[in-house]
Amino acid sequence: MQPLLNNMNDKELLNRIRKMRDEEAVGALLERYSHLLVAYCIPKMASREKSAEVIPALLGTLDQNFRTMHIPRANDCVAHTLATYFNPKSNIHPNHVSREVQAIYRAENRVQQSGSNPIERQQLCDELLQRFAQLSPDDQQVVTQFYAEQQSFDEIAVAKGISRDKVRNILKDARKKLATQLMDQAYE
Amino acid sequence: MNNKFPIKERILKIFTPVRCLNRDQLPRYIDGKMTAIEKHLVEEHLVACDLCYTAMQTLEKAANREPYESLTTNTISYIHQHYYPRHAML
Repeated sequence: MQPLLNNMNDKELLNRIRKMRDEEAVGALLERYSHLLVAYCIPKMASREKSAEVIPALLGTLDQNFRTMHIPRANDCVAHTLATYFNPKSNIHPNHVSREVQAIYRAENRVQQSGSNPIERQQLCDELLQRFAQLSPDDQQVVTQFYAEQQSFDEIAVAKGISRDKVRNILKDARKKLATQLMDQAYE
Repeated sequence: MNNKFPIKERILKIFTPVRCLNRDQLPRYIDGKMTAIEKHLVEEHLVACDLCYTAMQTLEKAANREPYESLTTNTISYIHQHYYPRHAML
């Protein structure tokens, strides 16, 4: 069964976990994210010995969260669990999905659903280009360099004289703005 | 408007989901051992995923590589023991 589970995408595994209570699907999803979980934890653990305590505890919490959380993406569920574990006072509700994140999920779903429909893709392109024109000139430039010209983070950072983190933040914020505007437009 | 974004269809890439980095991709991205296309796909994902971006920042520090490899191997063994007990016995 395990090789079959490894070929399933996150959504299929989450469905098996939540609807069929499939233990091996939990294992497959935990294994898929284990290296990211470890890399996230390393700077936050005071010593190597601490890992014997932290990692099993985190895997247990993640196991529960995969079964019960309403967050639709497994990677967001892992990120949320890790953030709450290392910052217990943050008081983040386990099922809280911000408006911006909801807008991004919607935009991603629209792109996926438009996959085989050229008219819908065309319409979505036009809507996105209208929203894109409302970004600041600096943001427009970075978005164009990255998505249209396919320049890397480092190439853009060097060209603009800013750090790689700054380039990523501009792109991340632009993504949120575009998704939110697209969602607001749908409600108008 | 379209002149500013030369290849219109590529604007959809902003919201095209890309999978999280797997165990093999993470060090290859950091070491620059990817084709330009694969590297760009990874970066499209890194824009959206805090989990992968944080993991990438951790592994950029050479001192974290060895603990990453050994802890990941141990974690996978732990998962196998707990979730695939029948396979572990074989």
